[in-house]
Amino acid sequence: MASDPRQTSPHHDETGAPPGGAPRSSYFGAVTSVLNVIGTLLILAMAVAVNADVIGRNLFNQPISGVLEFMGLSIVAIVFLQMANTLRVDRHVSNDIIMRAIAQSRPRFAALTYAVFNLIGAVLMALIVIYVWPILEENYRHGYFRGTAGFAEVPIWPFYSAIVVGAAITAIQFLLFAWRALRRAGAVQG
Amino acid sequence: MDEILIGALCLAASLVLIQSGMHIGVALMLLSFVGVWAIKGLGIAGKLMSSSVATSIASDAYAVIPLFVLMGLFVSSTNMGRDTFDVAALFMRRVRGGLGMATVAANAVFAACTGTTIASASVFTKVAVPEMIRHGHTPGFSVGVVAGSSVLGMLIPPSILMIIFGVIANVSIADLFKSGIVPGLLLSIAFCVTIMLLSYFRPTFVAADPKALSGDYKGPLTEAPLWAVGMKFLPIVVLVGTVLGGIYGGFFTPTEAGGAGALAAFLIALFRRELTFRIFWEVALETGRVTAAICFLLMAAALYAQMLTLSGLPYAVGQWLQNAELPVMSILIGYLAVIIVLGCFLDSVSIMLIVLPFVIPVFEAFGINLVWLGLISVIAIEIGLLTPPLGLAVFVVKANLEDQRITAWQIFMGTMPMTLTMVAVLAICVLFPWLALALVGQRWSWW
Repeated sequence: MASDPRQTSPHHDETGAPPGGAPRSSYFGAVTSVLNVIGTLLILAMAVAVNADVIGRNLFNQPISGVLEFMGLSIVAIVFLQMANTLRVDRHVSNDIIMRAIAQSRPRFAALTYAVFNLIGAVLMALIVIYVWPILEENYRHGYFRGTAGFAEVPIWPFYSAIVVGAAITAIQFLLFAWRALRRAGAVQG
Repeated sequence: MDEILIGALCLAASLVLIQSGMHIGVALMLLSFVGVWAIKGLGIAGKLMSSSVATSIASDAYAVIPLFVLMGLFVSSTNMGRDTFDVAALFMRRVRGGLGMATVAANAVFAACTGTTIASASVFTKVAVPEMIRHGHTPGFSVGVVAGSSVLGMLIPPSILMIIFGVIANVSIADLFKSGIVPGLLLSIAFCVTIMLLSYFRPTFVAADPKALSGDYKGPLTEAPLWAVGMKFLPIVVLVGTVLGGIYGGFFTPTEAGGAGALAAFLIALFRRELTFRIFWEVALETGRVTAAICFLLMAAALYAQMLTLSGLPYAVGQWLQNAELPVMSILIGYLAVIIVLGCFLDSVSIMLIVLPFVIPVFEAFGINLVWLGLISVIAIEIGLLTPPLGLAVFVVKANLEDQRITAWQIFMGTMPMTLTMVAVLAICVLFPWLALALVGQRWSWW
């Protein structure tokens, strides 16, 4: 992590490419990168906001209202904005030591297993989209917000729409990985 | 079907899927969803899932995670780790086995700026291992000291694991941070004692040629004037002072300390002229990925905890333990043993997420102090980071080694003395809770 923060995953060292690694450039990869950038900007905004609040409160006796509410909602949005890209570069937490060993002797079985796991991941993301959609709609329709009324209102719906969009894109990424794993299973056989 | 059985089946199935390589968050969330569905029906399962995703972590207590990660990555992107090691090596140069102790000392200071073991392990693998090997230490011992002392990263505040424990157990994060200071220092000293004993009584384990051990270390600072040494040390002192001083001086909360620390680390990196826009952006992107990975696990864990509660499984286990009339100490030892064993094949965050929903109600019923429980849980989990087959710290060290001839097994063997030292310190902290609680200002004890 000293010079290259990317070298933190313990899974990358032996075979180089992660099992679910994606091609370096693609249109879809660009979509995940855009979400990633928005999420990253949101993190930086959080860092700026919290420091502005601390400095304002301690030096000028002037706290900034709504910062805590903004941070609480942002963290949820950040997770889903980064989700697809995190999946794409294989940085979600998993423990594939056993499956890697199996892949050495039975690559087709391992590829099929990864295909199934990726399909399940897509199903889970689809479920998240299905079940978060109603609360997004409700918050949008009623204009719900967090914070003090008329003073520091942080609207909720933009953050919840980040969940829906992020989960949908992540579902597609899972499907792409599943498709590739299936093709790999077929190629090994042929 | 019996609800307790459903809970147990979901737990077992998720462990199997996790071991087969499915993403831990996906496995945990999906099986919890299925579990709630089986117990309460699809509608409730959907509602609980949406709330676990949308609201379970929507609080500023969780916003601290990306901020501390950001700070740690800024620090790691500079040469502050190397400077700290150089200064420590200078001070320890006349001590037998001093280079190993310098690694421990530098790790202890560095731990106060990062919240993860992984950050410490990767930095000091690059900084300390080549230097130790160059001075005649065996590769196994060199990497063992780095992997072992990297666990200080999670023990000495700030610590991501403690934040997660605090949120799950509903315990003050500031108190948890305070509880880690004395045990962290104790562990550092114990590591140094272990290194000294090894270098006197097992010199061939430490260095192929034991002559290498007797002082006369030549480092980059050997000839440097005192002010130059001070300048090397100043940035990290400022950073640690900002974070810890700010929290305990009452200027800001632990959440805000993450933000202030990230800003301070950013400014220091800027002043040191070690921050290009490329590095800055890479650090920010990486922060997002680490955050997404950890927080998705937390969301999954929220649903999992609700599924467990609905199944009544933790309650049944608690009842069973109480009816068995076992002494609390034996339950506690059993708990720590389970954590250490789980550490052999799960990562530290997942262990907390899976085990804590079970044990917290039980231990609370027994009147155990939860701050202290958090501290000993973190130490026990960190022991798992050093044990095969899935010693995460060991694999991080291996991934960052320049000399790839050193095998994971060599690292595990080299770490063994440090692992045993940790077990000893864990036992001491279990027996004497005031070590953890003195700075917190809480009184609780066995006796």
